[in-house]
Amino acid sequence: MNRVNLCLILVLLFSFNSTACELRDINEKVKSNHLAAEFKQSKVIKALSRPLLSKGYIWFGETEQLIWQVISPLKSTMVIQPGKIKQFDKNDNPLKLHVNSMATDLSNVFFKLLVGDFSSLSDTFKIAAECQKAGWKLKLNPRTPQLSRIINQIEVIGNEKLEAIMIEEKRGDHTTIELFNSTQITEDNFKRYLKDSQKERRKDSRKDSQKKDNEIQRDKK
Amino acid sequence: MIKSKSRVLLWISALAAILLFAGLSVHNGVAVESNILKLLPNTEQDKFSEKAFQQFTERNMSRMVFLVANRDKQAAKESAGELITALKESGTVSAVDYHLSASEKMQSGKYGFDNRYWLLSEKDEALLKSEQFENFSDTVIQQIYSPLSAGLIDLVSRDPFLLSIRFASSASNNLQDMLPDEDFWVINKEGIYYVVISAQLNASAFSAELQQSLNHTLSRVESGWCQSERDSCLYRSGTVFYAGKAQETARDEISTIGTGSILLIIALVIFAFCSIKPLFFILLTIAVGIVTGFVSVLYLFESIHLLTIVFGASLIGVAVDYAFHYFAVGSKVAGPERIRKIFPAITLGLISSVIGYLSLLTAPFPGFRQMGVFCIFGLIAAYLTVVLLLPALKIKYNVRSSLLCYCKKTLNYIEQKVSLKLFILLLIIPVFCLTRYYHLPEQSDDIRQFQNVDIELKTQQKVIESILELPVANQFYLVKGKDIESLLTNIDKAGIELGKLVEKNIIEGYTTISDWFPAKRRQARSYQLYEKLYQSTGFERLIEAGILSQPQAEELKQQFFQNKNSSINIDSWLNMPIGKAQSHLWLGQIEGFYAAIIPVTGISKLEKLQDISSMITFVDKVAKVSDLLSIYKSKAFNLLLLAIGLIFVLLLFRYKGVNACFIISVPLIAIASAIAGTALLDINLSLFNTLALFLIAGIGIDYGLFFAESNESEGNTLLAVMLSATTTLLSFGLLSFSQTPAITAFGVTMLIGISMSLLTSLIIGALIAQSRKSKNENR
Repeated sequence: MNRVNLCLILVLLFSFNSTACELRDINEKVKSNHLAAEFKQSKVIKALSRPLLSKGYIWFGETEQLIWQVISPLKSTMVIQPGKIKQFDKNDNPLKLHVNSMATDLSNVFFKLLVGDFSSLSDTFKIAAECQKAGWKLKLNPRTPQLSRIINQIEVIGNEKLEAIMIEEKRGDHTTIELFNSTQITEDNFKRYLKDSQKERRKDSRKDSQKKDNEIQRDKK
Repeated sequence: MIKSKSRVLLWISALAAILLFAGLSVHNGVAVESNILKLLPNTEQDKFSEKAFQQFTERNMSRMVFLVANRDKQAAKESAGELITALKESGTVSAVDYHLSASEKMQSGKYGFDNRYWLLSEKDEALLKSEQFENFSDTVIQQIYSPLSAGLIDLVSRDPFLLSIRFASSASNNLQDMLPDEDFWVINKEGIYYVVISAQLNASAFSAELQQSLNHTLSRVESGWCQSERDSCLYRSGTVFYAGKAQETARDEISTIGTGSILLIIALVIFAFCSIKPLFFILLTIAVGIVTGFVSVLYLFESIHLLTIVFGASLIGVAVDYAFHYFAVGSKVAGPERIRKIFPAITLGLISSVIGYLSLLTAPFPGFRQMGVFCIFGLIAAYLTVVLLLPALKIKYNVRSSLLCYCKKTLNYIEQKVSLKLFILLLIIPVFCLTRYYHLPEQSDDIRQFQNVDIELKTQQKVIESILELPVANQFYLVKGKDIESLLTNIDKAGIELGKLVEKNIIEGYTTISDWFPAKRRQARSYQLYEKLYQSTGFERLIEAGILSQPQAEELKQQFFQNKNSSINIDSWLNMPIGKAQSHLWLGQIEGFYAAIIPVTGISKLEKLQDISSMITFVDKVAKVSDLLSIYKSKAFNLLLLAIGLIFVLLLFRYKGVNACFIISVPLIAIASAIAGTALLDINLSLFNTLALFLIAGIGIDYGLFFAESNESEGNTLLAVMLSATTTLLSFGLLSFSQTPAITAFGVTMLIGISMSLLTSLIIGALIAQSRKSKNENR
């Protein structure tokens, strides 16, 4: 039902210069369990006189964790998992900062966009797909009030791979991220962050088992 | 005849008065208390800690925590929504907390923002002290450049180093993985989503009515989940559930034990007396005794404790003795004559029992006193019923001759076999026991054994504890100060010490109000440290990164320095949602001092938690109560020995030295055997068992007296004692099956004590008869 509707709208909207195409096809084409790219980000913030420019690496692999590492202007690293973000500062020390609950919601969207899992976003976004010779383009408009409070529209462009993401915020700020695939980036560059989160997991379970021991002791008493 | 009529009249009018009072109190609603703490005296020497404890526990006891678990997040949230609606509609809760509303979020955000110059986390304090100012500017740059930083720039233009966010993040660290999700607090652990809901009861957690309607509501919600195939799981924790369960089991047990023992008495009595008439009067005696006991406790104490009723119901065992004795004399003897025959025995029995229970009254334990009052008045009433009412009535019955014959044979057999040697052999038990009793290894007097612990509830609680860090309700630090400022300073001092304990893994964490509301001196110190940050190159770095402009930076600096002489005010803290959530930790003014509580979580080494100073004390109610129970246990035991001594003196007025010794040896041997028996069975000897020893003493003396007073070897006395012992044994045997450890221990103690009373009284009865016979022969 949903798909029929979507196709109908797409046919009406893009019947002139572009061919309507199915989200599913794009999804199948792009979705992969591996991603290694360089990125360039330009953030245009209304309140600031000049755009904020940054660049760095993106990596996604078997561990299901997405790494977003900025190298300029200031090194910083984010490890994104569905529902969870970890941040590291320039010295690779973990940074604990609960910016706001929006950040987690946004990080979920961001994660799915980058790994090319577009279909799963159709619950939270109205997605329009458009195919051209040069590639495809998706327009995402938020459905949920939480997201529409901050995001106007997200555009995703790609061909064989994901090439760019444009985020237009409600307040008028724009963020453009361009991706360039690279073979030089390997898991080795990021092992420490992945390891860190594994270590932490182990620490958590150790804490749990210690707690259990304590309980057992208390019970014995 | 006239005399007996006036006696009956006296009895009837007394009963009428009691029934009238009972009717009135039932009409007004009987206050049955099941809060174990109400049985105990105040443990605190100073009023201050006692009040502080009360204030804290009252709120804690009326609190419930729920987790709604489901593998599907949406389903978990929907189920949680249903639970919240049901709770609100049930009329049992005064408040349900499951989220911070948007306005509350705004409010606490505003508080953090307004007071950002005076709130400083420990971590940031260390950073500022070591002048790592770039950490602050770097964090801002990192956040602003992040693709996920929607809207943060607005805050940076007012709070350039994100001080408010830095503080809030560190303060909410204990919320760890708890994430707000569409108005709910959701925790994801191992693929399962848990929604956290807490609620505050609007009445006492010990109110049976509230427990019922709450359980009804919860089971309705749960069955609703089952039907909708959403399969959410509900975990609950709170005093109300434990209390409800305890009350339920106690109620069940009282009815099983009560019904059981009454049925057995009925069967036995009908069998022994070949008629239903004695049965009716025996039951009447018991009923009068229990009603009188109940009424007198209600009259003197205004409410009656559940444990008093359990203990009091066991009074059946003693009260029934008088009636048994009356009927066992046999129908050939007329009523008044019969009473004359047994009068010395039962009167002495009553007096000795009353002496025993009077000693209970001297203990400053509300629970002891209630039980003492219940037993004394109950026994007197039963005794008066036998003495005043029964002789005036012509009750037709026959003592079953086969039974009497059997008793006579037994008696003769024992009389032939028994020798003084056997008796002396029995005396070894008390000697052995008394030497052991004072050298017993430390026994647990843990108050918690009085409450049975439901495994299901315990498991649920464990699940909740593994996900949320719940503070321990009965163990916490209590901090006081002459004024608010010195209180807060003391809290800070406590925080330093507790921080060390966390590092040493002695506790997992603690919560203080001073994080969000520090002492003035600490506020000033934080401001001074921030001052250095504002004078550092941090601003330049932000300007370089394009995040701030030069004029903006100047304005922000100016704003900071204008606030030099301000500070946080207490009302703004108390009105803030986090302040409200912590308001139970803030005790306000008690006895001229300001006081606050610091709850601790995850205590692993309790013995390491001690007072930090005279103003910062560690309160451990469980240990205090348990210590107290232990003290009263030995006190009660000494009282019991004293009572036996007094009874012995009393006996000397009527009996020769040897016979008095024989009689008093019955309770002594019985008590000693009970202590030895429980020790052998590895049952904890607690205060509650000591109470059982009082009952054993009373019954033991009764049996001894009955045998000493019986002049004929017809077997009527043995019949009465046998009947009484059998009923008592069987009814207390049922107590051994109780789910509450303390009551089981009580039952086992009684079982051993009564058996030994029966055995020893038989032996001493035979010895006294022997000596009487040999005297007669000598003549």
